[in-house]
Amino acid sequence: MPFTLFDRIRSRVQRHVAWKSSSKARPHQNHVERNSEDSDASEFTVISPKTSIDSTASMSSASTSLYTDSQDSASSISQNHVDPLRTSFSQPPKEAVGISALLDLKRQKLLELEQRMEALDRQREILDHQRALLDEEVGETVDAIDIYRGEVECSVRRMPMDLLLEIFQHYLADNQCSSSLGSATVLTHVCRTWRQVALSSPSLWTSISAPRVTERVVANVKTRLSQVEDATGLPLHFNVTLRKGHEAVPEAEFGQLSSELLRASATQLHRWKSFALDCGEASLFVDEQPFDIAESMVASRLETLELVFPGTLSEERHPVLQWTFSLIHSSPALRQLTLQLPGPAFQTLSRSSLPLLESLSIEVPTVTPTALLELLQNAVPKLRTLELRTAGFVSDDEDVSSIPFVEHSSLETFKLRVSHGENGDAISQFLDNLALPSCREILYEMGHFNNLVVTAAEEIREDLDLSWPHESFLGLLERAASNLSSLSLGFNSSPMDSLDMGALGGMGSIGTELEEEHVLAYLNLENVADTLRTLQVKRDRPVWPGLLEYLTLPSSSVFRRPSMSSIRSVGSRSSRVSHEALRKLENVALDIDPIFQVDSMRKFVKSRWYDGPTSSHSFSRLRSFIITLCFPDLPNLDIESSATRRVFERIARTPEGEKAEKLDVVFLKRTYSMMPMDIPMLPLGSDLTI
Amino acid sequence: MKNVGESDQPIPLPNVSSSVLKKVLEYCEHHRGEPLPAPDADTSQDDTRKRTTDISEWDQKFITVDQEMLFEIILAANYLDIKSLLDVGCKTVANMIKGKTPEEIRKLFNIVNDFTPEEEVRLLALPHSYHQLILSFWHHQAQIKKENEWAEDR
Repeated sequence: MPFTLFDRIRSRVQRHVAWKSSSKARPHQNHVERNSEDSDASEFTVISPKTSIDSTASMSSASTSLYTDSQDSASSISQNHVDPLRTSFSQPPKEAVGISALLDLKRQKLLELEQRMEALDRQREILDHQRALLDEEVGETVDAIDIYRGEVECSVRRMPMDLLLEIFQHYLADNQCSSSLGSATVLTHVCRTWRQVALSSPSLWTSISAPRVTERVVANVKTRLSQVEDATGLPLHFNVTLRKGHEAVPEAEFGQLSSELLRASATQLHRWKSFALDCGEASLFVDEQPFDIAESMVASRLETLELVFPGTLSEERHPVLQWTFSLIHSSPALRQLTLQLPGPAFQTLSRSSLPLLESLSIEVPTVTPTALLELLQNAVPKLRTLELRTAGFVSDDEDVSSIPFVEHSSLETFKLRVSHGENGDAISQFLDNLALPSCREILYEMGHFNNLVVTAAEEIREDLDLSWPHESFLGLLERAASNLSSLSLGFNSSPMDSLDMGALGGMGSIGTELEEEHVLAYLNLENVADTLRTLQVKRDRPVWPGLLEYLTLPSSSVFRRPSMSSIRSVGSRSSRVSHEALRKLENVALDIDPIFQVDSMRKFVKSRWYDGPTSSHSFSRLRSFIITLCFPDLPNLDIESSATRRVFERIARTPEGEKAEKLDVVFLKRTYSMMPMDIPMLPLGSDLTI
Repeated sequence: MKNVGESDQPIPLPNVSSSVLKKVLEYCEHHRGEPLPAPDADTSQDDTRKRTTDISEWDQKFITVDQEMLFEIILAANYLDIKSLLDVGCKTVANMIKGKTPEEIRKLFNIVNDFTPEEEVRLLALPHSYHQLILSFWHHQAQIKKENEWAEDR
């Protein structure tokens, strides 16, 4: 029997009536039932559009036939005017069949829905996968864009090879080699092009450095040497430090590697431009030469040689010393020579010919006046800088009258540091027989300063006296250049460590010390007072108050009266007053007591810098002040030192201070006691610029 | 120019853009009258030619330009054979590289790292202490720079 529209309307009306009557009895079920009815009605409208999906199409057609059958049963149920699910009457067989059919229909629908959900899930998975692929592709494209854009914006890529090499050479000019690999190694790690340019340019690899001795370092040095082997025109720079890579390396292996390293370097002796060998703390070559130097070998291009051999040797014909002098003899172009030798050296050195040598820095245990004077007289005609560090000046056994008088006309800088003293007036003998008419910078320090390291302590004779040779030094200054610009004086009779006193020997007696009147006498010399720019006075205690007062200009009024004739007329050499002395003084280094000398230091700085001498007054303004704060051995030292700093900070804050040129102030710190015991200087603050 | 002689005809400079040429002219104008550097004939044989990375104050200010312009100036100086300007440019680039790691250099100049991972591993197969040495050096340099800036502020 067909299920007509009329039947459907009737069925609805009946169900509505039944619902109305039942809702009065169970009003709370109203909503549920209504929903179930709505869902019945909506099932058909919801399913039908979904039949467009292929996978469900067949299911829809199958459900249609079921639907038709169930309609028959359902219509028969409705004809009884009773909802078969809302009654407890026993079901007639036909009605049970109808309900089963409806149940089957629902199950079928559920299955269908689940299948559709599965299909959708599959589709979603496919889309998710496609999305992920797209995301990946987008990322790659963005990266590619960045790379291409980077390449477009990479201006350095447009540099031709020769310009790149030019840049590399400038880069290396200021970079000291920090490893055997060389500074250019960084350049080879940037990209292929840079690597190619750097590796194909031997000129970048001519500095060979071995900061320690390991197998790898030796291999690196050999590699570098092979790289530059064919570029025979390029001179080589060697810097070798014989130090173990780590403590566990056996001595024999270390010795073998060191020999291998030096022999490899020696194969290119003719190409050496500079060679520095530091034997470190190991006395490796005490009994043997670092490598053989044949008669025919000439280091024709060697200009800078630096050799450091620790330890002590008493005989001048020792293999190490002989090797050193052979190397020096084979180096006719030598301009700069730095030696730290363990034994006597000057007699052999003075027999050498070093016609081009301009700078000699040498540290030896002892020296005799005659050997040093002969060196200056015969071997080094063009020497401009001489720096000598020695533990003791030992007098010659020869007759004093046989010591030659030497006038060295080209020496401009003379620095002499003697740690333990002299015997038999050896220093006076040396100074009295020396004239340096071109010398403008003189440094003379006696005693123990922490920058003076003479390793050959046990060889120092015990009869050394520490005594300031005032008259001889005054004579040397008078014979120096007419425009002496730098004078550094130091005297420290206190040993650095009292435990060393016995071991070091010497120091048996302390003679004349450096006194205030000595310094004033030097400063009053005609060739010093008018031209001195740098003054440094170092002692084991604060500077004399009188000297600080002498250096302080009386008042700013002197700058308002620039008439130099009036200033000059004030006095002669002996009666010179402080305000006309040291007009060119620019750099000062003094030891200051931060408790008692703060005020006088402030006045000194005020007069020399803050109050503003200008060039029109032919007075120079102070440029740098190195202050070593000398503390007595008292508690709360740091609190006291801050007072000194505040002096400078206050000056710097004033508006006038801004107008003035900068004054560079360096603070150092040292304590002393009346024992006396000297403690090595410690840096307190670094380069506080005001 | 001597070879060309007096002429009103324009001289083509295809490798130099107008903005770069303007900068080059500014440099030449400032350094007008200064003696030319001595020709160093034996440069290829000996690197004794003194190279430093010091740049005068004016030159430093002049060369403070963006990277593209800097390299353009170097190329122009090379093309026009202005040795002193070429030196200033190369020194500036050298100063930019100074104290930097390869990675920092790449970043600075937009250089692509075209080493394969295997090559990189091989390149960096250095002793541990070497790395530490470099790192401590850079750290030290950075510290000094910071302290100097602090001091300058005061």
